[in-house]
Amino acid sequence: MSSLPAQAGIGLRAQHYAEVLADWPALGWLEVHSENFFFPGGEALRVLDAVRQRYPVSLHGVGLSLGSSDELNRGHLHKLKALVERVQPAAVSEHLCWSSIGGRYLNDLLPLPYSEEALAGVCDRIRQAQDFLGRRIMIENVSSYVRFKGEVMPEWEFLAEVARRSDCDILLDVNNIFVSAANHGFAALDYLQAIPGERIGEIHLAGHEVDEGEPADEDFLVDTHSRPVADAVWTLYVDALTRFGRKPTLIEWDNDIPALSVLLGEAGKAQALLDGYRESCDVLAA
Amino acid sequence: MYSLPEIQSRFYAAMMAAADPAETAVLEVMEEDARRGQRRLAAYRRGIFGNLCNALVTSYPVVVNIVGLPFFREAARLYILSNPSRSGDLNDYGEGFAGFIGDYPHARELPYLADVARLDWLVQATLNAGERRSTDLSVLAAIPARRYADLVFELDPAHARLDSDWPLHDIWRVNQPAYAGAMQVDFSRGGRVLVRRVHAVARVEALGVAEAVFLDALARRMPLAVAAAEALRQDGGFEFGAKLQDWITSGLLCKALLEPRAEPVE
Repeated sequence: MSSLPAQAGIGLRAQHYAEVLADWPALGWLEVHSENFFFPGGEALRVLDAVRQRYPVSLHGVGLSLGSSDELNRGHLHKLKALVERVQPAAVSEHLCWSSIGGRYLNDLLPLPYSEEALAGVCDRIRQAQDFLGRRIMIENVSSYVRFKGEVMPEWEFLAEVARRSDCDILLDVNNIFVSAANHGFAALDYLQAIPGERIGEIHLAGHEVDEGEPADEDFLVDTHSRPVADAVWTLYVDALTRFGRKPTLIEWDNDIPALSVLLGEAGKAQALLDGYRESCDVLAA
Repeated sequence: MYSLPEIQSRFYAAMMAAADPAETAVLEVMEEDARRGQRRLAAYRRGIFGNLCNALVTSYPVVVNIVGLPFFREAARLYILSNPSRSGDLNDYGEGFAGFIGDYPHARELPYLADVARLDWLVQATLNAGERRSTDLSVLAAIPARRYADLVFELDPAHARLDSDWPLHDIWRVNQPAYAGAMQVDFSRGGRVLVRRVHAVARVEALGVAEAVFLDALARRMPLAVAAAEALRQDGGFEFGAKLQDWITSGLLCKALLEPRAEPVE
């Protein structure tokens, strides 16, 4: 299990480096995208070296393409390992998705078909990655807009099975569950109920947008990380805390990035819910 | 059930081809009906092209400043269609963009744009280059002046050199965010530039012909006497000693050593 504290953190982006280094805001931990620190030197690494002296750091990868039918990209994995050795992060995570085929990358978090073939492949690559890194990683559920024909299980079963077979932990993105539930017409609570809580090492929260299309079209949700967390996602987050207990919780924001104070406000909201959950548990225990 | 490679190949083709046969092929493996499927594929396509385009915008800020974002985005879209990403790290994307923009018909009136793109790429590479392993100039004090001719130098990895038929240094200078002076550039002369990382900021300096020859020779680990002779052939008045001092003081030359082969036979 990760050694992140069960507190709120934020995803640290380049726009906020200077302010974080000047003010050291009160946060439980910080997360960065691993690939943005694959360089041999420069300012970003210097910032990360400073930040890790003050906060537990989580390295969150977006480019390993664990679900691809290609072989695992060893060059990418070597760079990740070097970074892990340098940073000694509290947690390392990647996504339950694919982004490349035939050596060509779409550099996006693309959905897998929930088939036995895809399950066996992704579990194999997660095990390879964990063996190479010498540590357990967390795997995050992504949001999706399409489903494939002939799938043999729902996503929640697929995710739970991935964790069981590859002995990895789960990074549960509550916004992604909400987005996919809306897009594919399943109940988000069914999803939560199928996930083994003891495997969850971290929760993600982010904002999404509605794609309205033409007047005759159905709305669907797009995982843009460009908005505050939606009210309905906060509600689902409380459901997750109720079910799984306090978990390290991250606010992610990647497009139309606002002032740091906005992110800190969102993190404060998550922290208040985490604190409130502890109080209610204490009351119940008494 | 379609195989995983089949689904992923069709999905990739539908994203990058955007033309009808590819989209139809991926719709066949999807649950969604045609209209719903097309809109959802379009959302993925927007995300993918948006990410790749943003990577290019980040790597080519001066090109963006010269041509404007709408023009750049259209060039980027065409570049993305013909130049697949080969890395899971978006920071790697776009190395060939200079060649593309040099051949781009709509940029024909800006023949210097390809070299500006080369400079942009080198600036980013310099900012992210490795750190100096060590600074060791002790040999300078330890040897008699007559041995200086045999000195070779190591350069700070955070530097790059570029020669152009265009006045790159001036073009770069007037396109910096903080620049507020006249936008006039004399396009009649080319130039040589040195890019360096100084306190986490990229500095682009113009070099004279002799300076450039001198530095390039030192970078090839030519002994000081050979490098100086090459530079003096370009400009008999070139004061290589002062330049050497300048580059040592500023950390560009971070290590000096005597090559073993240069040891004198006593």
